[in-house]
Amino acid sequence: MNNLFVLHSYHGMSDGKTMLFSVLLIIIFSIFFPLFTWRFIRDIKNLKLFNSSVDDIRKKIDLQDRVFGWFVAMSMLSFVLVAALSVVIK
Amino acid sequence: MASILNIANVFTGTRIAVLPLIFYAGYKDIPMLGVTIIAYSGIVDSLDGIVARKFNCATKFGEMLDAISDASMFVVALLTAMIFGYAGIAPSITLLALGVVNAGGRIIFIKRTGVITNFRSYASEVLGGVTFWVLVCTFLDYYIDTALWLLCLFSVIIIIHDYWRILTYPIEEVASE
Repeated sequence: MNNLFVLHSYHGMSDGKTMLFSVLLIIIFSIFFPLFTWRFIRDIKNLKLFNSSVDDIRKKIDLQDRVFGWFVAMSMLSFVLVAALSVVIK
Repeated sequence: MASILNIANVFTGTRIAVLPLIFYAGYKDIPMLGVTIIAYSGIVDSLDGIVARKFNCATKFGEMLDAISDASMFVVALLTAMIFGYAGIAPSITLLALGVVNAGGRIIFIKRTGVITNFRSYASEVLGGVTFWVLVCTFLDYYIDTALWLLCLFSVIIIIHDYWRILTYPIEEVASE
């Protein structure tokens, strides 16, 4: 895991601060990952229910944009978790 | 003038006023000062919209000032980190270049619609939030080159998505808004 996330030290942050920041990131992950997952599933369902003959095309574009946004957020948060865990589980 | 000088815009303007302190933090090698300024900017960014609605003073100028503050923070913090050796030159320059390409998309959108409006997508909002945290990582010396390269990768993906949306979005829908 540490080969993937190389911990360069440009100005040498102390281990305590690194650990504290990692714990903060894990807390943020725990809050936001379920939130984005819930939004992702909700909007996928809404997109499936979308009826293009009745509903506004703008609404469909917005839904597609939301689904993409939540997917990107989940992907980014996954990297955050790996980085934080690689410090905590050392 | 009265619509420009309101509490929300003054609040947002303080984000630009504190930018020299980031450069000072890099120059004097005080990383925690840099983190504090970035955190202040992030907190104000998330509150200024609420303040604007609360005091009923939301304006187009305020929206643009908010976007300018975001971009200024990004450029100053990243350049400071690069100049004073907190971050690698290659990922920093690549990310700044991607920021320019991203801004170019917004200009194309304004030209397409003929309306001065800030193009928004959910993915780029997420990217903005993550960029704030990566700037904190820069001053905290936390996986910084890896974080910057990953941010470059996600920026490329989001820019492609946003350009596709910008070029295909039904213009008459925006004009009628």
